[in-house]
Amino acid sequence: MRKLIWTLVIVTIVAIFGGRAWYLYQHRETSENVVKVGVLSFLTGQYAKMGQDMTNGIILATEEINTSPDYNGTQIQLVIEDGKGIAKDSVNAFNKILFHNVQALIAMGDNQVPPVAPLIIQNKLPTVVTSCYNNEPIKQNKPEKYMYKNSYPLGKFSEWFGEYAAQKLNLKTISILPVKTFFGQESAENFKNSFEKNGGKITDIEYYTTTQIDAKALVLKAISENPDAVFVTGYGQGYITIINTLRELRYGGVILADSGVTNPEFVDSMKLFDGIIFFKQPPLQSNKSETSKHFQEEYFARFKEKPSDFAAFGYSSMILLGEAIKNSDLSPSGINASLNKISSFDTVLGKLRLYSDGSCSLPFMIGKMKSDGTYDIMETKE
Amino acid sequence: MTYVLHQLIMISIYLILVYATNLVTGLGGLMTMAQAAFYGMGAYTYALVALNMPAGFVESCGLSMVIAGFVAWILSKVVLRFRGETFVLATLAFQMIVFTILDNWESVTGGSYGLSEIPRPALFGYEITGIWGYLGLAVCMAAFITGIVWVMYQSPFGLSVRAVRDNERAAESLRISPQKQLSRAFVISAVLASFAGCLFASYVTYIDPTSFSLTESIFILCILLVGGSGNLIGPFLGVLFMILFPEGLRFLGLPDESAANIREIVYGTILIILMYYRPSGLKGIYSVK
Repeated sequence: MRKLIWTLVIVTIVAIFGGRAWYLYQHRETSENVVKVGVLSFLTGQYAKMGQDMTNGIILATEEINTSPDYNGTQIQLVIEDGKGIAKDSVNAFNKILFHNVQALIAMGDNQVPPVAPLIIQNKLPTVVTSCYNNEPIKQNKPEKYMYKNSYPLGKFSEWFGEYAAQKLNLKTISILPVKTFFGQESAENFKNSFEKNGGKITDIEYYTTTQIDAKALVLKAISENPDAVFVTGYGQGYITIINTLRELRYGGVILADSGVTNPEFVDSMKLFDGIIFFKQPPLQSNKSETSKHFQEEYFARFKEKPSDFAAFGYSSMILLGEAIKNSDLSPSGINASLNKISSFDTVLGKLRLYSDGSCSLPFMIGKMKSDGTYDIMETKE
Repeated sequence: MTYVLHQLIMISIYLILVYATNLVTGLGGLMTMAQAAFYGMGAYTYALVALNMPAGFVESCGLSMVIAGFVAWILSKVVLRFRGETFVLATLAFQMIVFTILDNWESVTGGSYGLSEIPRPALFGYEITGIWGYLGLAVCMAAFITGIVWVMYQSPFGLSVRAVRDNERAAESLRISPQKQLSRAFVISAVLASFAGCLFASYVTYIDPTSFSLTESIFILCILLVGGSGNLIGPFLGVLFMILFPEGLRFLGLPDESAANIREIVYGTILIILMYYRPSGLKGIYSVK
């Protein structure tokens, strides 16, 4: 009897799921003025907060597009899937997105975009790639371009920062503390190459994890040769731990950092950041344009928190895609052709320049933090 | 349709992995945390050989399996001195070592960059680029290995491994060497896991260390726990459940902002309920110790 009940339960569950999947498959065609946009996000796992912020930005932008008279009545329908920041799950999520016959895609993440890049090319799906500092996927943009980056060019920025550290700050020796992910590796390598090319010396590179809560041994090793400066690059709790440890050990040299210091999540740690010299695209809060102010206000009203740069990237990616959709025949090839024509675009984070290989650039600044969370701008570059 | 085919390919790959684990954990009674390490070793060896040498699919897979087998043989000399929790810890340590090497040996493995543009397999001069072709390859390989595993389970070797699991002393008294039999099971398990890694790498064409972490080892063990171990049907049901159930949850039509998190909660709850009511899995012979 028990066996029968269990069998019935299992068959019912399978029938419900299978039936729903079949129903969705049969009804996956959209009406004429509806454009389905897939979002390959990471909503769970260690990068969940970043992925959620980006997805919130995309949702906000979609709502604005759908209520705007400027889009000829075109409605955007999002298909959001969670790739968890892992290659295997991102391929799963991408295939689920394809199931819905989407006409375009926004993909994010250094661990998610590379495994789906060949599938994007194979399926000829116009894709805005955000929060992906890895340039390998873009190199697969042949013979035709389908992937368009909207991330800050980490490699280039790190190179400029290395040059700045050697030439303008006159630092001779630096120790690097990068996070143990693609982001940290890319940032550290480009900074190192540029700094050494300009006559400096990197004394040590010590990786930390995003969840690191004790970094004393690591930091002591990094500063054991008394470098002129320490460059901390990355994100997460580990980022705060490293800077906190440097302060506790009363490190007397210069602390260099990247965009993490302006993350609103770290608002409680602003005092720690006092005096830190950092690089990034100009922070959202510094952009005084009407579009940016509008975005910040609307985001706060909708999600009850200040938008991070990740949210801004999500928002600007959807707005960029919306612009392409507006000027297309709504088919994937039409949207792709329209995206291909865009060489520069004003985003809430500054002017985005799109290049013929799918890469991009954003304005760049170097600043010096103050304890109240504001900063002095030391150099800018377009 | 691509979505369904993709699920079938992943089921085939995981079937090979789980049958491999079943040899050590199900039949042998030793819970190994090192399967993802051999899975990763197979994937990386395949990728490095395929990217840097003029070797075909068969040669790349062959080399991966030989290397994994050799490493497993050496490792077995150490870890098979232990039983129970100590064995688990020893294999866990090996898993962490392999992950650390994959993540930090940047000049070879690419570190966090991973390895991309891994070539698709080519068999008898025919390059398998389409998903149907790949499905054919994966299903054929899974069926072939299932056959081999079935024969192994019924063979004197399989019976002797089971005997060692049930009572090591009694098995020894019958002149069955526990060390030798478990070592063979461990090596065969590693070889099969590395082959699954080759299939995965050639299918996804991008690998990075995060795909072969401790989480993956735990996931493989969960498949055995849920489906059941010690036979053929339990692991098969486990793979079906653990691969298809989370995908089924994607169709629930939950609100976008919270869908992913709710799915994880539902998935975890169902696993707990299943373990409570079926401690030996859906169709297993043994409860995993």
